[in-house]
Amino acid sequence: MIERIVVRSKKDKGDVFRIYNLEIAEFLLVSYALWNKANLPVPRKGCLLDLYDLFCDPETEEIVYHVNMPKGDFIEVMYHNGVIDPAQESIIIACKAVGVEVEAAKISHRYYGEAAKGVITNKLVHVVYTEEPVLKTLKPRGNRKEMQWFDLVAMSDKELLSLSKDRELALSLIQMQRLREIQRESALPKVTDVFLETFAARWSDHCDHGTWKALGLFKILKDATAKIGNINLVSAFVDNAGGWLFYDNRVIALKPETHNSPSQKEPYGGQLTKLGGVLRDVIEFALGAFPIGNLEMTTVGEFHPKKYHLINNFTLSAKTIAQETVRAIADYGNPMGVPMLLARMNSHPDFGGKVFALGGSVGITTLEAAIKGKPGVGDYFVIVGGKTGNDGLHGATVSSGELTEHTDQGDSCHVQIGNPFIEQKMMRAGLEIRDKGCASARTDFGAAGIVSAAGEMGEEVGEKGGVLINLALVRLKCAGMGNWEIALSESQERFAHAIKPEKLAEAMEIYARYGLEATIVGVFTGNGRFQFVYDPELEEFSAATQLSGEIAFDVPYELFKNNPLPQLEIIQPPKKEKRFVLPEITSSNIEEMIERVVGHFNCCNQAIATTQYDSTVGGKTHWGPLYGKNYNIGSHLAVLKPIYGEDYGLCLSQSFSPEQFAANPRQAALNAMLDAIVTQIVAGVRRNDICLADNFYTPNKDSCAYHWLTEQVKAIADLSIKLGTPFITGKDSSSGSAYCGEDLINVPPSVCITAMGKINNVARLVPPQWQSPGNLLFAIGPRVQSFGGSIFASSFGLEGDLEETDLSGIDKYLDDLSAIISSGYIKSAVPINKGGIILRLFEGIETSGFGVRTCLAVKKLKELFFEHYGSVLVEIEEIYQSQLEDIFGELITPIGRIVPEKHLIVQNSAMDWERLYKAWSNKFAKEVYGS
Amino acid sequence: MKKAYILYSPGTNCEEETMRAFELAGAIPELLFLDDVISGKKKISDCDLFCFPGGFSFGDHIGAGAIAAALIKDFIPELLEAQIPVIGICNGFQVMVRAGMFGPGIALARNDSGVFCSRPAQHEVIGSNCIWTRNLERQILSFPAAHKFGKLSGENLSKANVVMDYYPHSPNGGFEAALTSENGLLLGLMDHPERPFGNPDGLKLFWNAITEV
Repeated sequence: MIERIVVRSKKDKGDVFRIYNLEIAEFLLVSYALWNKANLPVPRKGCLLDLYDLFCDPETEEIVYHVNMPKGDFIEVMYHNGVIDPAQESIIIACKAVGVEVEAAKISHRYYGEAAKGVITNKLVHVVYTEEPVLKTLKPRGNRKEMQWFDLVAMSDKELLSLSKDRELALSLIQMQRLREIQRESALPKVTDVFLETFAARWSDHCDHGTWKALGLFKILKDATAKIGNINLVSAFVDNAGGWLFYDNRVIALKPETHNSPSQKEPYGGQLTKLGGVLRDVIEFALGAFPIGNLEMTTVGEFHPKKYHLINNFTLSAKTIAQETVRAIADYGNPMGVPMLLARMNSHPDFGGKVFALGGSVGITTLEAAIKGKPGVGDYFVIVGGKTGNDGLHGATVSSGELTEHTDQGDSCHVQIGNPFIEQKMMRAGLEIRDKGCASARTDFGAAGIVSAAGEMGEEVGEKGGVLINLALVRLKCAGMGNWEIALSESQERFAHAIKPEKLAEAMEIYARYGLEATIVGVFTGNGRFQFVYDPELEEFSAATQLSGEIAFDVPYELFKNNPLPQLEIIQPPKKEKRFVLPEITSSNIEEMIERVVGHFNCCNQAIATTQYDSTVGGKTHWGPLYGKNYNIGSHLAVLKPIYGEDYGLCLSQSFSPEQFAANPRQAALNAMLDAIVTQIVAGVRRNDICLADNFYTPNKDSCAYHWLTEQVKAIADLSIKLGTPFITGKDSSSGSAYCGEDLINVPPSVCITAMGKINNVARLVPPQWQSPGNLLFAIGPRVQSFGGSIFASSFGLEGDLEETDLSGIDKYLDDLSAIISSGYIKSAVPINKGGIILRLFEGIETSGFGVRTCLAVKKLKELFFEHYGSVLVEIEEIYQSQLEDIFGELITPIGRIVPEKHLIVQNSAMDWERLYKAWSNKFAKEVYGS
Repeated sequence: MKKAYILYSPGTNCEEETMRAFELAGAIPELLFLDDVISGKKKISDCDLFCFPGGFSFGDHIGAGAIAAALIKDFIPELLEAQIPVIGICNGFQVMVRAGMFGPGIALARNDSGVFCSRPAQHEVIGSNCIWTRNLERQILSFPAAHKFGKLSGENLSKANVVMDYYPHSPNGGFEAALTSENGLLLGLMDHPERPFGNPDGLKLFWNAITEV
């Protein structure tokens, strides 16, 4: 039976009710007193009043009985049966503590009248009731699906393609033909659905990076990193994350990754799992690491659609995605206890069809544990953490293909709801597993679930690889799962550990102590084969265990190498018209022009969102995501002190400007890279102490996408060699196209660059905040003479083209910059990037409470609005001016002098600060929260 | 050396920095698993100081601190009878309040903003017999706030022993930042004196109590 306990806040006595839906085997006593009054023996512990005490804080809440519920229209929102409520586990534990055995639980919320307006629901995960729900069960229902068999040899090409499409395999004809050959050559009468799904996942672009391989791009980046030979490099492109040597024999794992398609479809669930995914990558880096910081960057579409004016008829609005993003990042990151280091949201019309949802995480481990492990023959394959459900199916193939109506309707469970509670426990347990040497190898369950995790780990066993998995032993949260679904499920918060037999008992004790479920489901055989069986009788494993029960999959590893690469055509884009007309900036309109920039969504105050993320948990944050007197300026550089009691600093910067990529993808990639690096250098980090991560986002329906992608990869690889800053990790998402009605919306070919550096003493860092009135401000570095790709141009709805930066002397410039930073006479410094110098001046005033008197002539005012990526704005005492000029010559431009009063003075005229502040400060709340 | 127990419930996430704070202040910290208390493997009062640290115990899924409070409630009398100084930080404070350690009529309500708030905060210490804040009267202590349900409220708040007020800005809309008990042994506060590592303002609280015992 289902017991429903309704709770309402006492404070507002409003029309929002939280309802605990509990599935219990027996009727509950209302109270012991009533039972005793009837003079009946108490059959068991636990009664309804105990649950009321548990679920309701009597000081702030009240229980509402069914008869007292308001009359009138309402909506009640609950996860549907296919989605396990993240609260279920805790509710079961809590109820057990008061003697009530609960089998399943879900929390719903009921809204009456006005309260129902603006409630965000998504049919993919929610069920919405408008009448009193009649609940029979809260558990997922269904019967186990039988395995299906297919004779590919008997199929025509057309039938093969149709099979790929119908099953959402996202395999091309040439790939399907290869599978047909495999069936024929292996003399298999038929192949199973597990066979098809396993190959589809392993050969997907998401897992095998066919597009990148076909274009030779992986090799370019890997070769560049190898050529640099940076002594800090521990691991690159071989593990869940990249490894960079820190101090005291510690290694930092870095992992940014996107989660674009799910975040567009169901932003709350998508963004939760985005952060959960990168955290798992770090937790399971090599033999285990401990996450110490998170990064967040999301780019949504237009808030008031102009370019694609009907877009909101076809997909979620930018406002909804933005709101849900903030809520999700807070709801996952805060319970994890990992501080948010940098957070930024952008808006651009071309991301309206497919959001760019990038999350990142960094973790720390020991040097000995930083090398990717290899399972030994006979080691157990253990699944730790959450149960396996039918959520997240086809994540690998869907993220490699495009979202279609068919995908939307037919694969409604590929969105998941993350549960940080489980993952957070693993953070601690994982350290003990590492330190006790229990695991020979570890990984997380990401795209393609067991297929990917077991498959990749099994590949490393001995000389030939080999793993046997018994799908019947996998703990399930859904009743009706077939073999392929168990194998492919992407249920969150699961971890794959190869546990040494002699360490099994110790490992199981650690998991139990942290409240984690762990199950042996297979063994690493070393027999060269990847094998799945379904046999409830098979519970004991050794390397020699024979196949038994239902044999779902049994192929040699070498067959996976036969993925036929796609034939890609590289098409040059047409020449872009470089000229575009913008108003001249004069002393009479300068205030309005500044207002346009500081009030642009991509430059505005986002503290209302950023402060929702815990940035200080762990006690290691030195510079967090916000700074300044009023704690409201977004940081360019975040700094951690990862080792308690030591002054070593770990520095993180990230650069992505959608306007730049829309203007010129290749130059924008270089600008992003320069920006991320110079942000580190200007704070005091040496360039050979910096490593990089790339996250590409390619519009797969744009005919010129591969041209741009190739150009971008080559450009950043060349620059990384020139600067000695290697890429150590990266990921490509090639699903940046979406149809919204008739409109094909392509994201501009984009790449977000993350830089990570180290400094041996944080006291050496140059702060971003202005220090003293009287000091001078100079812009130093490469300069552009156009508005192309700038926020200023964007404020007029224009993009233009980008100027190419002359990179011939860039290494010398950066070294000179490092030298003056070391000399100690730079009082404060910030990079110049989106919003140009004018935004930095505005922020400088807001952070310090001082003002600035600029010294640019009228005809040079526009230089305040150009976006000189790679340049910096520095503060010095006047006595050092000539030294600075001697070093940088033509690369230096005087900008102005800091004054004690809080004024922005241009052409001897003080701008209306209140006007500018209002534009900057109100934008985010207005667009995202409508306030 | 004094021994400090730091309670670990599933979902606790501030135990490491809290242990470091006790260590820096001169105590020997030891992690105490809630399961070990419930199973009787460990005695809750086998320490000189006790801490409910921050985090999201049991995911805070049915109310901040509610489940941990329900599970630990039966062991609280033993802790109090042993006259052991106790500090509850953030979620730890929520657990203490839900477990009734500051008496009835006290609650930690949702922030006025309705959302989580992570930002620097300043706290003015009020004169009291609290062993954690003794001799710090009128000092302004800086350590960060990071919570969603932190506004002290309830019908008995006016009678409660407030030992810190927010100054000048509150992260949650309330004025009161910390409570003690009648005997001055308990301290509950939403903000984090253990952050960042080595924060001298926060360490003063730990030093005080360790010195007293």
